[in-house]
Amino acid sequence: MKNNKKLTVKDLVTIGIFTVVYFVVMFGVGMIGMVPILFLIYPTILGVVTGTIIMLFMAKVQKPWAIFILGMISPLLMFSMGHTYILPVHSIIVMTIAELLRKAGEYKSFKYNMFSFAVFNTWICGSIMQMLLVKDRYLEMTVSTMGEEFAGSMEKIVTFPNMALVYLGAILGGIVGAYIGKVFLKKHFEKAGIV
Amino acid sequence: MLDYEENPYNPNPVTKLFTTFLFGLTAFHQINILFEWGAVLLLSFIFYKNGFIRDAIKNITSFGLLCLLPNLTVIQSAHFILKMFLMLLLMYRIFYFPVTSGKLLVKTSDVGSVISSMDKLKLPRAVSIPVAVMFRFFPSFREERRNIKLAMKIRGIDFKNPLAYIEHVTVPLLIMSSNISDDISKAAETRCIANPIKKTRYIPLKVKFIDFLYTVLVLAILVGGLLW
Amino acid sequence: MVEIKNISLSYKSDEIVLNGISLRVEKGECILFAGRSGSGKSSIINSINGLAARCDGAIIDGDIKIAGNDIKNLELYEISMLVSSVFQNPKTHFFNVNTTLELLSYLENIGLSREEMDKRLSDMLEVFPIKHLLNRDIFMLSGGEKQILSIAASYISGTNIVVLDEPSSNLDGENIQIVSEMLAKLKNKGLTILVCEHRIFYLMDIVDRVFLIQDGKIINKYEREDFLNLSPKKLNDLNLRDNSKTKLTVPEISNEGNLKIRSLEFKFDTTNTGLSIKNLTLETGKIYGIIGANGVGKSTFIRCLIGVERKSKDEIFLDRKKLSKKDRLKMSSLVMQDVNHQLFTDSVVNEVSLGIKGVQQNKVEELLDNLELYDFKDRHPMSLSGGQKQRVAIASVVCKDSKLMFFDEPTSGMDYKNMIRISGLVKGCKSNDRIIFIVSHDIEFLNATADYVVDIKKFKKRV
Repeated sequence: MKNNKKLTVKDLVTIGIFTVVYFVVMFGVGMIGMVPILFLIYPTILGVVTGTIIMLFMAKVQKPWAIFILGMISPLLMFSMGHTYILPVHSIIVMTIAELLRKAGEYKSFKYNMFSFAVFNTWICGSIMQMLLVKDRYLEMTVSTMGEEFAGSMEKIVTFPNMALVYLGAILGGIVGAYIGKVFLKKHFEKAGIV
Repeated sequence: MLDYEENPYNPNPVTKLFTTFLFGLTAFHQINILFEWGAVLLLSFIFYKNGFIRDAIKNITSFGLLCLLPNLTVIQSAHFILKMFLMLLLMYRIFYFPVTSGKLLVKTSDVGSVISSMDKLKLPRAVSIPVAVMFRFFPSFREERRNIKLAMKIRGIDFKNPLAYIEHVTVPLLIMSSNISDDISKAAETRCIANPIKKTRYIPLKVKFIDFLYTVLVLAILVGGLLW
Repeated sequence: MVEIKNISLSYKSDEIVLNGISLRVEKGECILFAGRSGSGKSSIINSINGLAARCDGAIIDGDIKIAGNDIKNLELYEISMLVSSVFQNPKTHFFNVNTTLELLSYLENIGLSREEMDKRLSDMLEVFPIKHLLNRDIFMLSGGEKQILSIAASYISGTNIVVLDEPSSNLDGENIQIVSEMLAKLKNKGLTILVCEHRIFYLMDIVDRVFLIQDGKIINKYEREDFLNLSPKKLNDLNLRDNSKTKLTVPEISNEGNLKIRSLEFKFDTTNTGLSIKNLTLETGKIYGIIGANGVGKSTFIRCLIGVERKSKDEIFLDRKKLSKKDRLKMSSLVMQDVNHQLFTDSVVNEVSLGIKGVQQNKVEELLDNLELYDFKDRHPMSLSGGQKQRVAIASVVCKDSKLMFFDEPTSGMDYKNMIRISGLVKGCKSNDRIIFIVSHDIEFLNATADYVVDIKKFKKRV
């Protein structure tokens, strides 16, 4: 096999397939994201639930750029569905770090893949970030619609320091998800011979 | 031969993507309400001309309702929980234009023209192949999920034990997806997708008058709305 | 055209699949590779189109030359420009969502101009009148239509060689007939055709030579005349299906019994057709074959009976007692066409006893022993071969001991011996208080198994 490290057609197809699985599950869990306040723990839950999918993907395609491409398609898709440019720009940074972490583990070490996924999982925080960036306008509307008091309590919850907690939650969720993925890999996918 | 209906009122996907990006700017910079209505009518017009009459009407009514929202004084005294849900509507109001424009892009673009657009944008193979696969796999995935759910129902696996439930959905779904992945890659290979020569497209990406008109109108609405 | 010199092929598991195969196929010949499941005949097809080595990780020794080129020196896409492939399961082996683009995508990838594509398309429509299949959503086509499209795609690609891997596995009689005619046209156009199959009757008009494969070796070569003279008994001994079309000998449903479908109405989402059944009566203790062309609604019918189609309006009685959808779901079990959908756990033993309260361990083990699965009881079900997986699914169904048992296409792609074996297993499930339904196109199987047949075509209505 020449060019062992280059993505083949088969790898690219696998990327497309797993993006769909990831995307559908993301939307399934996304209901939580629709509930106010709970959307702050959405990234954590997303990490726990999708860990298996991405860890299986990383086991299947142990090559450079695989996780980066997979990770960029979802935000680009969401961008074409009306999210702002913040999401893809934010994701480029996130996915670059995730890619570098995988590279450090030579694409197969569980430990590095786990950290890579934990970082990967923070891309969704970008959608909350874009809400923070429109906060002034949002508060203005909230005050006029819901009254000062309510707007005030909202302002206290959605802040940049609290965002740090959201990122932390995303990373923790990612680590838990990666471990669940590891269990499933051992229990099912390796035995079934698909990795 | 084999006419693809060339609708003169359907901008190409590149135009629609670009205007979605432009509309995204309205989230950060509020534009004048009259110009906002101009944008709503423009979007509805494109929906209507592409046969999405219900979406055209829905667009106008829902934007109207969102505009009314802040004027409803009853909300001020509503319950805290209810207010939290109403907050979502406010968020929707802020992102209304990019979201609706995105809906237009998704609903009025066929796969062929999307793939041609990716060629035009000179996206590398590493992006265009996965995206083409996604279009192909979405409907398969739905079928697979339906079959697995059927099998689970018959076996009496239900949500009473959520952990086992998730395991029993995940495992066959991911294994099936992996199998289909192998089949699709074979299909792709036998269709010479790896051929390095310049590919042709049966459905070319056409730049029509509507592409200019639509882009210019959106730009005019944004610039006008910001300066007014 | 195709020359194979002493190849042997093995996969990772070290098991030798092909051993010392040599053959030479001239331009315009039609070759049939026959043999039992697992004999290696599909591997011959897949080593010629290059997929075995490049996609499935097989290790091949020896030379394969196509039109004078050693395929070792070719990239996969270069092989695909010489050989086009038609697969067993048309459901998954396509790349586009739109039928026309599926036909054209190969031409796009080799860089033809739009005019040239139009020319090839109209040329193809003259050979195969399939205009009604153009510009449609592939997911809305029946299995038969998908396979017709694949063969049309191999023609439009303009390669001189077509290889087909069990193309009739999922087709009904009518579509097999169409496929047969299509292949005859390809042969008339001078294409070289290599096909591996169990069901052979539809190839008898076009085949020139038959290679019988066993344990990875060619054990016999027949010229056309010699092969046609083989008796059905001899063919079955060689694990082949009959070389002439079998007639259905099972009687139509007699409309007597204690399970009464007073009415069943269902409308399909996508077309303005539906199923409408009035006063159909079935009897416990019998096996019913559900027949009808691809896409007529056989699977929908059994989904309605099982009680998982929310939109079906039905009144069904067993011994005069009305059965709700929930009742039926509880008393049903199903072996699906693709058993991969119904294997959930990490070992065969767990799989068989999943969701059943109070199973006795020794009973499970006895059952596994009967189905020749005992040695695999701790293996992961998904790691087994196709036939073994199916037997695991059957074991789980038998273990549930349901009143209504459903088998959806249990013998698609099976050789003679395995078909007879499944027939025996299904008949073994027969009991006085149970009704067994088998959806099948396989006439030999139905003849061997079913007591009555129900033709779904009769219930199809425009709405």
